[in-house]
Amino acid sequence: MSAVIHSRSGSRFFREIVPWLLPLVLVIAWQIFTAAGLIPHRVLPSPSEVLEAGFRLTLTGELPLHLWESSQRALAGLLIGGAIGFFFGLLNGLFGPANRVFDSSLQMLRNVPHLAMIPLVIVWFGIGEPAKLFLIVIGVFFPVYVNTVHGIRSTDTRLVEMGRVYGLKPWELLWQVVLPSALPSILVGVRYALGIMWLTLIVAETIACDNGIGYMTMNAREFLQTDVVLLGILLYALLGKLADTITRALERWLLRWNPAYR
Amino acid sequence: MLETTLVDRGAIEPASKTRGGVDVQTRGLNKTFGDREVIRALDLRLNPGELVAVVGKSGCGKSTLLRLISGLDEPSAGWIEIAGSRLSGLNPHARLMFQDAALLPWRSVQENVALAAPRRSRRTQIAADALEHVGLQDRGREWPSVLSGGQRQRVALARAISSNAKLLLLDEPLGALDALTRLEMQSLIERLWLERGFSAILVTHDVEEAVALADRILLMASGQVTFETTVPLDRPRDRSSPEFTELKETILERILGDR
Ligand SMILES: Nc1ncnc2c1ncn2[C@@H]1O[C@H](COP(=O)(O)OP(=O)(O)O)[C@@H](O)[C@H]1O
Ligand SMILES: [Mg+2]
Repeated sequence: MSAVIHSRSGSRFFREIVPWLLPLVLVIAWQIFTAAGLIPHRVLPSPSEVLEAGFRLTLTGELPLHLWESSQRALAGLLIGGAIGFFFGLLNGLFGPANRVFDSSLQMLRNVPHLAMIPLVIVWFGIGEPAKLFLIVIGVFFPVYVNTVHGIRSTDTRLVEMGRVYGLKPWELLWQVVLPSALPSILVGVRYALGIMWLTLIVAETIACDNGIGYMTMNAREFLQTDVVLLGILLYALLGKLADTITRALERWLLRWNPAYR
Repeated sequence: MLETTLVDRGAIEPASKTRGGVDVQTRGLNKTFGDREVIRALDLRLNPGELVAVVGKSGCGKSTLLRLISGLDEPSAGWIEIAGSRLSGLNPHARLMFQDAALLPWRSVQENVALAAPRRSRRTQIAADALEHVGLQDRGREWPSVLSGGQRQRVALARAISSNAKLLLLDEPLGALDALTRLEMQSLIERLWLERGFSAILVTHDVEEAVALADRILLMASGQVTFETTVPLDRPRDRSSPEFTELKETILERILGDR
C-alpha cells in the first residue's frame, strides 16, 4: 500500500538494508546485556550462545533432521490444504449452485478456530503424523478457499464478455481471464495460509511429537537448555520470514503486469 | 505510408467498401429488464459496409441494442438477422468496443491483439501488422497499464481488425478521451473502416462525431428510433462547412426536442 503513496526514493542498497537495522540493533543490545550479566543466563542466554547451540546441533545432525521433518510437514499440509481450498474456491466461485450448496456451511466452519479441534483430532487420529497434517490442512484450507472465491467473483465482467465476443472457449476464459484476474487475491490467501501453517505446526509439534523443531524445543525445555529453546523460536521466525520472502518474490513475478506490484 | 494506402482505397475505390461488411437487420426487437421496456419494437437495417451512428440521451437503450446485436444478451421478443440468417447465441461477426478498452492487463499489448486473430493463423504476425496499422508497432511488448487511454483504444481497434471483424459495435469508444486524442481516433476509425469495409454501429453522445463519421445517423429515444437521416457529405468531411454545421444543428435540436 505504502508504495502507492510514496515515490521510490533512495538507492536500492539503502532500501534493502534499512529493514535489517532494527533487528541488528536489538541483537547487539541483547548480546551486550547478557554478556554484562544483567540478565540471568537461565532466563535469556546470549545470542552467541544460541548460535553456538545451533552449530553444536548441526554437527550432531539433530538440527538438520528436525528442520527437514518440520519443513516436510509444513509443505505437505500447505500443498494438500491449499489444493483443496483452491479446488472448492474454483468450484464455488465459478458455479452459483455449488456456492449455494457449500458456501454457508464452509463459512460456518470457518468460524471455528481450527486449533480448538485439537482434542477431537487426537481422538480421531491419535497423536501421530496424520493428526498434525490434518490440523495444518484445515488451517490452510480456509484462507485459500475464501480468497479464491473472492478473486474469482470479482473478475471484471467486461473482460469476460470481451473474451466471449472474441471467441474464447470456456477453459480459455478460465485460464486467460478468470484465473489471472483472481491471482492477486489467491496469493493474498496463500500468504495468510503460510502464517497459519507455521502457527499450526508449532502448536502441533509441541503437543505430541518425536521430531521436528517443536519437539526439539520442548525436549530442551525439560533439560532447561534455554539456548536450544531460543534457537527453536528463532528458527520458526526465520522459516516464516523465508516463506514470506519467497511468496513475495513469486507475487512480484506473477503480478508484474500490475503496476502496484512493480 | 499509412496515409497513401488509405487515400487510395477510400477515395478512389469506394465500391470495395462492401468487401468486409455484413448486413444486420432487427425485426420487432424488444428487450425488457423486469417490467422496464428498454428496447421497443425496433426495426433497424444496417447495410453491408455501412457506418451508422446512433445518438440519443443516456439511458435510452443504445448499449442494450449493441449487446443484443453482439449476442451477449437475448432479445425478449423479435429477432436479429445477420447476413440473412437469424442470430442465436453469440454473433460470430461482431466485435464490441467499449469506453474502456477491456484489454487483459496480464497480457502484453501484442498478446492482447493476437488473442483475437483467427485460430491456426500466424497470430503474432497478424497482431504485429494490426498494431502497425494503428501506429503502435513499437509498443507490442509492453503491458497495457503503461499506455495512455487513447493508445489503449488504439490497441482495442487493432484487436478488432486483427480478428477480421465484419461488424464493429462501438459503444462510445472515445467518450473518455480528451478532445485532441478523440479527433485523432476519429480519423483512425474512419481510415480503418474505409480500408477494411466492415459494417459498423457507432454509439456516441458527440453529434459532431456522428456527422463526421457516419453514412447515416439514427436518433434513439426510449428504446425506439425517432429520427433518421443520411449524411450526404463527401469524405473526408470538412467540419467547418455550412452543410456540416447545419446537419449538426438539426440533429442537436431533435435530441433536445425529444423527451
Ligand atoms: N442488465 C440490466 N438490468 C436492468 N436494467 C438494465 C440492464 N442494462 C440496462 N438496463 C437499463 O436499461 C436502460 C438502458 O440502458 P443502456 O442501454 O445502457 O442505455 P444507454 O447506453 O443508451 O445509455 C437503462 O435505464 C438501464 O438502467
Ligand atoms: Mg451506454
